[in-house]
Amino acid sequence: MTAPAPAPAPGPAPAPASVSELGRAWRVARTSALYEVLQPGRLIGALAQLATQVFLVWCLWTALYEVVPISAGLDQGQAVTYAVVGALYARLRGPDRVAARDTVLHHVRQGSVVYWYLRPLAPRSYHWMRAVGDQAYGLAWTAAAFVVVLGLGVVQPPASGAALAAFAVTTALGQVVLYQLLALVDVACFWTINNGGVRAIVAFAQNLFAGAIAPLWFFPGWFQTLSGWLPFQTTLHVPLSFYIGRISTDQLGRDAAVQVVWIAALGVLLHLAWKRADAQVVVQGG
Amino acid sequence: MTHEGALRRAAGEVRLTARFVRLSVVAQWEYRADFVTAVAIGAIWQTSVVVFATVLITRFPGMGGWTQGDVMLIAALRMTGHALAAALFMGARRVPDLTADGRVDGFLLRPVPVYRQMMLSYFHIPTIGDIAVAVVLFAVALHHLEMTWTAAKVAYLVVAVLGVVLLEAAVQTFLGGFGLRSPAVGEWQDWAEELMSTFGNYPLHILPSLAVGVFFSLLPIAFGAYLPAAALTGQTAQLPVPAWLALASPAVSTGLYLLSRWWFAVQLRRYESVGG
Repeated sequence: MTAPAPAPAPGPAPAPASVSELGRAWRVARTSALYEVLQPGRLIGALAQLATQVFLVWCLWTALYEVVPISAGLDQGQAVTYAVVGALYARLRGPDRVAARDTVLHHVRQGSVVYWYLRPLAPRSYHWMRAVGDQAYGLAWTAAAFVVVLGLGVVQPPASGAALAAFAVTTALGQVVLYQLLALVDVACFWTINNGGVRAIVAFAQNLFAGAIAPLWFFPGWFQTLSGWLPFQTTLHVPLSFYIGRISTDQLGRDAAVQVVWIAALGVLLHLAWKRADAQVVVQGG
Repeated sequence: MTHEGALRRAAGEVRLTARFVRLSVVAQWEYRADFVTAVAIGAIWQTSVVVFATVLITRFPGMGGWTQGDVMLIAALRMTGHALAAALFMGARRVPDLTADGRVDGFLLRPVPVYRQMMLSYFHIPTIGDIAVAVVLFAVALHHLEMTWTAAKVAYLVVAVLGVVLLEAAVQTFLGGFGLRSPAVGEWQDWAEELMSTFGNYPLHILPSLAVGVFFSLLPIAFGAYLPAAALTGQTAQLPVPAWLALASPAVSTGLYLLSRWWFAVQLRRYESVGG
């Protein structure tokens, strides 16, 4: 037996639920991006920082290769391409919400996380919408910057059409892994309250083991083995290695499968973490 | 003031500083897991710098004509100086937060200089790990260096480390001055820190002249570890500045720190409370 439908409210007909939900998701998702876009000073600052970083990384790796034609199986063009895209990696995480005091850490510490539980939107849905919006904005930045450096000849084009396809597939899967890792760190705030150390350690591990600090090919064998057992390299190192032709496209099936396994494992972990976080939330001073 | 009075006053200041640090450490010890991970991250972070520097030095021998030991000396100088700077001056990177929280208002009411209160308001726990790794790196670098150590060189080494401390403090204090007026400065401070930790470890003359120019002027990383290491190892032939300036770079860092303190004082006079 179903409950009787409520009488329609007078006035204009409401928009279909799916449209209004999409609109709501869009308004939530764009919050961090608007914070940056609507402040020209911040936008120009972010652009200047990124341009300088790319220039300096290009300088360093070009200079290093002046005495050695090939190192760690990479020639100059491959190494510079990898290192420059690694420099763009920080933008993939989206705009910095620290200055706006809008990180999960801030909300948990200041008690404003309570509002997440008073809205007609589940906290995990709100977090998801914000995170996806941030990451999409970051990806747009990275993609635009990539097109510019490609046009300027700073980075080389993909090794082949198949390499480009493998790059696209593994990048898409890598973005999901990146989101899950960032979300897990955020949810950890509910337990540790002050998780600045944990956040720093994960951000650092992401940069190091993803290959953003330096191409992983230059590290010792034991380091590469260790990195192979962690999820971080699937977010940058694997797609980039396909792009520059350092990994054969024959390996795509295996590497994509590893990414899918990580997505499944991290997905379960994230689901459990959110489930327990809702029961765990502490409102300090409230 | 008599000599005895000056000594008593200095002892009182040291006691007060120790009390500030103890309070900060006790406060952070409240969050045990975070405390332990903070120490761990200091060690792991710096280890990664060592691994990366070692990897580059091994893969690209003779970086800019410098031997592996010479390049390691730059990295060791910078890391040690950075660890000490983080212990003493991390407050400079917290100026935007302290301002946004309204804590500067409280600092202005107390009979201790505001700048000192800011520096002592927070003890950077990861520095414990930083220092441990820095000591190891120094030992490795000294082992690789083919150099006869004299009393003068050892003394200069100590002065060079202090120069790195003051240079990093100068950069963050200068930016911190802006932080009294805008919270967004924190991002620029993080960025400056990243640039210093990335490019402060190498002989900068391997970079094109435009980049070298930036590191001698806008972000004067060169005066931190690169130039003193050149003076110590005698690698002054390829420097873009005279050898005497390389030798005097700790003095340049001191001058830059004093300038940054002046800038900070100017900004503090214009401070407006966020509380209205």
